[in-house]
Amino acid sequence: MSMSVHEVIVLFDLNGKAFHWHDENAETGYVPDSDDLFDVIWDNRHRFAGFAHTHPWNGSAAPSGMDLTTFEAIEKSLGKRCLWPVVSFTEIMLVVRNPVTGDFVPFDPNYLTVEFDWIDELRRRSGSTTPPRP
Amino acid sequence: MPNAADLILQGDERMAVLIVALDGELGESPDLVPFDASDEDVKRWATEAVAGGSIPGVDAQQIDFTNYKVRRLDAKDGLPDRLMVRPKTEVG
Repeated sequence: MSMSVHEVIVLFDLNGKAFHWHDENAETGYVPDSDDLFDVIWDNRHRFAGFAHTHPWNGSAAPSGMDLTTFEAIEKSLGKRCLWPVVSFTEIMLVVRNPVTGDFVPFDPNYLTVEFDWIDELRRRSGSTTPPRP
Repeated sequence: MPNAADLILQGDERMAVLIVALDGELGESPDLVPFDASDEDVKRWATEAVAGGSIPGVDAQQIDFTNYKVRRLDAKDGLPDRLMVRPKTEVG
């Protein structure tokens, strides 16, 4: 399988640790729906805290409309709020659902109580050639 | 939702257990539904079943399954044919 610039998903637990990589190297411009991915989420739903995915370019990490409807559906299915980092090659946006309004909004990373040690690996798997930040 | 008993008695239509992944539960509807029904019909029946509180383990509520997928699981290992309504996972 050749490395191309593509979107990758990583699932993380309540401690922020990665426990599953979903990388199909799809050349679709998005990560297609997947029974297998749903099974992993469901089977790990008690420790699942969210998943991060890449927007494989330099620049905005804002979630797409497709992203938001997926986040909402998964949260409703699991019956809990999750954290949804969107990672471009230069930016990161943490997205959470406001429990009052129901809207998905950016979350200030300064309030994170866990450390994500998989950001550079997520970008590398997505085809980034941008040097990791120190 | 079709009356499962009538459907079974009237012919050989392949019937399935309807399962919804909601609020952390995999709730099963006591009513069978046709396995080959359209996704739209399956989602509509799931909406009706949830709204009517007829799925054990899932609180009655109004829910829109637009952003859900219908997964068709063939009978195996003693389990019947199943139709699972689960959230989509696509991002992009």
